[in-house]
Amino acid sequence: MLNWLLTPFTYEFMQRGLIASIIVGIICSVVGCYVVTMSMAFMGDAMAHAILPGVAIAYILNGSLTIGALAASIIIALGIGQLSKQGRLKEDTAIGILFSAFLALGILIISSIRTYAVDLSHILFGNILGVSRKDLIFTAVTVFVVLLFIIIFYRIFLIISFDQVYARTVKIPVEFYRNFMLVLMALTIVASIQTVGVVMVAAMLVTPAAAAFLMSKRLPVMMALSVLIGVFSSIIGLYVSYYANVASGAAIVLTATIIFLIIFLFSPRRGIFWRLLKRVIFHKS
Amino acid sequence: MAILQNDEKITCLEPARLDIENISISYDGHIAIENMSFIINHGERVAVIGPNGAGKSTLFKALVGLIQLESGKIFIHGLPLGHHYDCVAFIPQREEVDWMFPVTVKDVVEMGRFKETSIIKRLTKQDKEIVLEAMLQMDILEHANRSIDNLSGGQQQRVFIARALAQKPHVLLMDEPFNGVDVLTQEIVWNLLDKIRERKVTVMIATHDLNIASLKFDSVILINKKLIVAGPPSKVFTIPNLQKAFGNQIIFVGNNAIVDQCCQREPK
Repeated sequence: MLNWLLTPFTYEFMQRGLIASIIVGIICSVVGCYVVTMSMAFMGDAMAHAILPGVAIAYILNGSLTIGALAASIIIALGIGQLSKQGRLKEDTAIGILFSAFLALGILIISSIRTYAVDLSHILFGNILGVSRKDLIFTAVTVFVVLLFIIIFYRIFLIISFDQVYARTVKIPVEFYRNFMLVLMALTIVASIQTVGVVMVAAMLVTPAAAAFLMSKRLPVMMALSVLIGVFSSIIGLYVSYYANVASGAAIVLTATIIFLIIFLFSPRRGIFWRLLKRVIFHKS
Repeated sequence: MAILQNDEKITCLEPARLDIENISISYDGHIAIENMSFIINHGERVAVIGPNGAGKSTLFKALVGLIQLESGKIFIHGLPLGHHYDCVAFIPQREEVDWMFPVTVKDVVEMGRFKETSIIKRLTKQDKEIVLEAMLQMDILEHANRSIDNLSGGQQQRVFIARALAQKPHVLLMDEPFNGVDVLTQEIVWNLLDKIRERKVTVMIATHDLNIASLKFDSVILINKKLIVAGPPSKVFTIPNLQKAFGNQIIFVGNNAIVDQCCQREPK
């Protein structure tokens, strides 16, 4: 058994893959708590997909793919903010428009570059086994910076995510901090792309945090539980990926989804199962 | 009146006087408040009365700077809005709060001690005492570590009043605080209002309970988009004034006025 657990990590690329997926599990789960409580799941999805044209343009210009990805992700977030500002459009409509536009632009550019086809699947689905030493350092530093900001601005982010009306009455520049939070989200997404890919990162931002939400009565507790679930899913997903020879990102996300479903049914606080059980007992007595 | 530079901010040192001068507010072309002017003295307890959609919530939101004025001015302590850090506390209607959010009662009340000038700093010992006192006053101390989603309506209302108290406000704005709360909560709130009257806190309460308004307030402001009349209850509550504010929503039975609230809801 122990041998079975350790074998994958005799390979150096698997060790790097493990560390990368743990780091990604941590950061996506923490940032995800804000995504869930502030109803920004669709926004996260849009920001992840917006990376596609960013990477493609950077590739054509021979620039840094990371910076291209980050820029595109921030641009779409701010663009959505502008379109939906002061109720001109509802936010989900604004997201719907820009999300598909960015995706289309990405596909348009990529389809014009013939040699690019191989790398595209890595951006879409992640390539955990191709994490280089440099990638790993970049991911770790980014995650450290994001976590640091979340700790520093913890109280402000708590107030803004809970009650924006109150935040405005005590003169917190809500708009500024919301944009700041979106930048942190963009950093998180870019740092996670290598591991889980564009398609899966939105799920990592939502699923562990949503599962934790069902069990917690305080934000710090929710964050801690979310990290536990996220990291656990990453590790299990990696084993599944190794032994079943399937895409790592998909394996990680599905593991998280299964954990979510279990908690959704059996969570002592908000679980469906207990509610139904109570109803049954109540009816009998 | 003291003239301050635009970026200078002050904190409040005395009970506030409010001057509302000719304010108008509109949303997407619909007029919510039109040319309204009145003055509220230091430490007064004022009821804001009007039918649904009369602009009561809008007026409060303007007073805390949540809504831009189209024209006119609001002065607090004789200084234009925006020069004060923390002296106006606003308690929104219960429906406007995200009750599913994972916070405890204590977390919410502690938010009242937040200052933009000390983003990183944790709460001081004094802050913690103020929070404790606010929870004690609202009788929610025993629920301090419970999450807000499994409290009763009255308890939820008291949590938000406690947060406002923790702000140590000089003007307290309450939007329909007695809507759907239990008798105990009403009693606690009235005790509180009597207590803070001694401290000369100016209190404005939006309500549609004419009975309470006529018995427990120093003055009444009757509005329906425009100011109908402002003054002591005995002068404001006349049949012509009420008819002007409520139109055919009000029915007079002998000496009693009954407001029909059921058929007109404020548009969301």
